Amino acid sequence: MIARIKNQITQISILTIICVIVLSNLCNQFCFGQSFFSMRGFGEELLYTDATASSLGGLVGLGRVNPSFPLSLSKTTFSATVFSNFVYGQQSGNSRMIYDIRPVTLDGKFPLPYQLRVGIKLSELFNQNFNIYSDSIPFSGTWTRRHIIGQGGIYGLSVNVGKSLFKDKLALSFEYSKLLGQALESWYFEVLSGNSYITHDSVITTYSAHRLCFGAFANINYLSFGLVMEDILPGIINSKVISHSVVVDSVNGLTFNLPYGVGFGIVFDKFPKTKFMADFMYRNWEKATIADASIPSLRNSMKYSLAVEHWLTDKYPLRVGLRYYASYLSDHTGKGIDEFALSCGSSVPIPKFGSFAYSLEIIRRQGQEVKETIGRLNISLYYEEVWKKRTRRWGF
Amino acid sequence: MITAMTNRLQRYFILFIVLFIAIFILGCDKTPVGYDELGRDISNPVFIEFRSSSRYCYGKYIPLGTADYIVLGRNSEYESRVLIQFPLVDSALGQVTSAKLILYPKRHRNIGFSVHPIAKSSEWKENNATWIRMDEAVPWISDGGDFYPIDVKQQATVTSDSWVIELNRNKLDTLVNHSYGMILIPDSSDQDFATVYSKSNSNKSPKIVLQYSNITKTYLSMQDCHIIDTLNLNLLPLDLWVGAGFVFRTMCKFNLDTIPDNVTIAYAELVLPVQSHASISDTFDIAVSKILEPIYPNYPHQTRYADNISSKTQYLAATDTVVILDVRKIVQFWNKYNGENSQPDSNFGVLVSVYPENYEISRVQLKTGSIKPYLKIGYIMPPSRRY
Repeated sequence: MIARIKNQITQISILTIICVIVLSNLCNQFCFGQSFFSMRGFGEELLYTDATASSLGGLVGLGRVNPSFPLSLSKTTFSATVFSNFVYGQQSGNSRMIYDIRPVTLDGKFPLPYQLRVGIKLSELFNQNFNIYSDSIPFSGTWTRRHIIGQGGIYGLSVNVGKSLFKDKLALSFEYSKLLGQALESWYFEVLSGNSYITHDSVITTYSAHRLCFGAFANINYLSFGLVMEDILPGIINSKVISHSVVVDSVNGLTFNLPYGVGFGIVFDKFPKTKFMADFMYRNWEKATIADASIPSLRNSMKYSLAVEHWLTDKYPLRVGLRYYASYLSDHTGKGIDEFALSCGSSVPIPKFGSFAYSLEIIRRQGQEVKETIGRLNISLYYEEVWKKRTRRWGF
Repeated sequence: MITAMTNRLQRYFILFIVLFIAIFILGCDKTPVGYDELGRDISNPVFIEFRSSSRYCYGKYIPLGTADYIVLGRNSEYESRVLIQFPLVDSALGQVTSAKLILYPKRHRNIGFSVHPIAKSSEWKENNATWIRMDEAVPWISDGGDFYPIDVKQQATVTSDSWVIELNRNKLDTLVNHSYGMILIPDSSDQDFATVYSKSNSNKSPKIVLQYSNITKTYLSMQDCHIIDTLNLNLLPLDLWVGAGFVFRTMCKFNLDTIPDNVTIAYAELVLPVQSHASISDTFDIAVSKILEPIYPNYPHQTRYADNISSKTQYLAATDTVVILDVRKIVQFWNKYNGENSQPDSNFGVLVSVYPENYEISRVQLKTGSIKPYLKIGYIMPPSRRY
């Protein structure tokens, strides 16, 4: 029974890799986009950054987003994560699919003497990839339409330091991130027949800000707790509109202020092979401002996750999670965008290297008119140092 | 075990194919899903027609020495003469047994013509010679070329492959020592035009073959051109013509003040309804150029315009009743430099001409009055910023 499951996991892993490679090639030819809502606000908020967290319903306080994760760091670790997103959108009887495959995180954690640790991370925080068409527009005896493609997002380059206390019962960390972002919107006006472009205008937006984050992880008997708190310091937006090769509109130094966020998670691991997890995150987006003015279309975001991790053997876990996410975005009718997700995943050990984790999420996201059914395949590659760091100090 | 695994892999493979097909079908779909979520002010494209606010037309002699073909002939409206000069030298002219001028026709017609030596003092230059000038600033004494009245043509054998003109040997001394080339003048009874290759075609360049008793000497054209004048053509003040050979140029200006600044011109067509045409070829190109300064109403021919054309279109003489030129780049330029926002004004109008203007003989008369030239413009407003 176990062997069969192992075989199946291995097959799924291979198939997953093949699918990602093939589809990533296809995506270059087809429509590239993250969501039909990515043009709103700051784009899609990325709550979690690796396949393990996503397979467990999207952990924040208990995932690698928390700079104090894991509680005990005895090896140098690196991870790299690729998200592949297949969105089937529906609106008023129309349907369309967009795709997006991209790296989202690269991070490394390094244990130091005295139970100290440092880490670096490059991760995506907001995604603004979209790809939309307008209705047909009659124009000079022919049918035309607008085609708007957005690419880019906001990214964070982070450095964190932390320390484990009380014999690895508590870890505290502090993280600083420099947020940088750029988004390019290409506005095409095209003729339907032949897909020839009549005009091509561009909107270029850049972002710059700083983020401070505090993380804690603790263990008491069968319970573990994760806490992450972050605040984004006021940042700057520069934007310009380039039309027929001329900058026709621009703004520099537009201040924006993103809200603080809190994530909290709890793990119950009384059973040797099974863990139960619950995770919550909140951001008070209603306090977000641009040019000192509040943004009326935003609402406070909340995320709830429930998850189970069961180790089939010592090396093969099975992870299942549920998530409800009330996005900070509202659609054009003013209705909040809600998201329900069912996720599962596993990981496969790679001898003398680390492991390979994957997760599959089925997400239902909807506003008033637009409904998205999302299949998300996430892959993370974890490298772990083969030998544990020597934690004893000389003289002991 | 292996069979079960094979079956499972087959199922995965089928699933993958189905997934691939679904993605392909849905990925190619371009329905407006999500467009409303853009949430920005997006104006619809605007389409406007502008009638020309002012129009000018003028005719002008231009040098035709750089043309690929030289035109010889005459009808009720035009006359075209050919000037050719050969590097002939006074070398035993008395022993010449025959002298032949050979031309290669591109458009063969039975044209009657005479060949005259050009006066030696008339040192014409092919790059500057016109009906009224032998050089840039030097007029002919008589319009149409200064030549001796003697006809040096003795006999002509004219076929569609070549024109062989036997020259009078007794006049060779005049041709070589007392003239500055020769001029071919069509007979006044001619009603058509022929074209022959100029020296720009090295294989079919005009040439003179002098036959001696035992040798043959061939001289290729050193310079050649044709000069054109109009006969009984009256350009009236309100007429709008474009033409080649003897050129006619039309200038139109449009008042585009109602177009907002910084729009993207998606579409701009200059529409020129045609009333009549005259041409020795079935097709020719009509082009449009940007005018670079305000038009001088009394001296429109002195107005500067861009050397390079902005666009051109082929005019098919048999069927076309309207000329449509794409002027999107010009209108976009006008919209950018419109005299507002510290930018200089650039909208001085467009110049419409045949392209190239030295190509044979052609003329189009444009409609005026209520159906005068007009400009169709479609523009869209630039997108707004995300924030």
